[in-house]
Amino acid sequence: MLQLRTVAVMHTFNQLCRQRNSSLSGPFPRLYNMERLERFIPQDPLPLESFPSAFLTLFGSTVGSGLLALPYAIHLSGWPLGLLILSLGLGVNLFTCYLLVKVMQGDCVAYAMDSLFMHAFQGINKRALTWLTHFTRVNVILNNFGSIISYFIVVRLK
Amino acid sequence: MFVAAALAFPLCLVNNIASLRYFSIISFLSPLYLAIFLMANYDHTSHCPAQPCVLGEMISIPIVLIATSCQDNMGDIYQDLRNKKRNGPLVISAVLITAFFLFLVIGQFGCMEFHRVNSNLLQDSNFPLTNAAGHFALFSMALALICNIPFLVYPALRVLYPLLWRQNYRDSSLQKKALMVGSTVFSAACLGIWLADHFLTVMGAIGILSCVYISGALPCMLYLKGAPVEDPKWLRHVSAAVLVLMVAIGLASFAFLVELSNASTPYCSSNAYI
Repeated sequence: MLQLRTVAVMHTFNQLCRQRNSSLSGPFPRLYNMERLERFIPQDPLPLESFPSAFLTLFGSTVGSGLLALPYAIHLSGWPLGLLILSLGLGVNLFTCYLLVKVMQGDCVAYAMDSLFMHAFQGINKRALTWLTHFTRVNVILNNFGSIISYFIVVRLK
Repeated sequence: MFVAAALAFPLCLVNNIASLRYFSIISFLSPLYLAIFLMANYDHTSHCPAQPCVLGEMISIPIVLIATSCQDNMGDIYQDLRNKKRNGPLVISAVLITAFFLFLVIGQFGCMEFHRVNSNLLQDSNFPLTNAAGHFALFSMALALICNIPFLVYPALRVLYPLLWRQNYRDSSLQKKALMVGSTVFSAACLGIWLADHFLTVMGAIGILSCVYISGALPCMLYLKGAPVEDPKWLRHVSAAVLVLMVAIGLASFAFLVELSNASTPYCSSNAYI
């Protein structure tokens, strides 16, 4: 039912886009002009082959609003314990990233979290695998969507 | 907030995370500048007046985990690397060690100087906005966060697509992507307005509910299930120990969060938590 509704909404949206693109005389013609929008999308077909590019991109995905809450986290836990928690957090992340690399170094061809999960647990019951993969997907969505909300809270500057 | 959402919107429509490499330079330079700014403004008489308590410690663990997690995009970055076996672990180590020192400086100096009013450093009323350097630190961090939004939207939509349609995110039309990205970014902006005064609650909830699983438990589970045979046994034992630790942290933090939501008085100190 949800999928049918989504398809219907998408169809209406596509029709609207086509109408807007064919005629620029509407009230907000440029809002749906996909060709115009395409110009603003960064295009770079080259892969992140080199160390500096990969370093910067991974660093970019590490830095976030959590960084700005760190002073408060250290305040809550105290200076020595705060340092210990920070070291523990980075240690755990370093170790789990290393484990992910180990998993990807195997015969795996998937790189997204849900695909990795499906690949690793493919031997289990099919129904259970579907639900557990959905659970992983929901967690990824929750994690990223929640972080986007926290970013918007932070950029609401005084 | 909506200006930020409008700026981030076209960046979120990229087909590949590699297209954002130049924007990640801002994400590297802005925290570096903030760290230098905090050190330059350091007053020798100030100190970090820690008032440790169990609840505070429990809530700071998920915050640290969120601050340092990078697992969602790691697959794409690893896929692109030349000489994966050598460069993969090298890139991760370099990023996390650099992040450790940078985060340590920002955490400690930020705690010593601007910790008293707000859980979010940039919105703390003690943050010095009397000079141009302070304003620049504020706006550069805001810009870095805007440039970072695609790093969150991309993995979220990539796993959302199989839940809604039988289609790959990369293969979908630009109209469809624009609709999905637009609804994600602008709904997050609306929720940001609604939850504006609950920054730490949002951080704690994400950290406890999902970050513990994504950053800690899931990679350990994946490794334990599909570890190469030639790997040493101790690596399996350590990953099993980390898995147990992360599950314990997740459950304990969740219990403390429930306890906190039922508590009628602020915990730890007179500082407002939520």
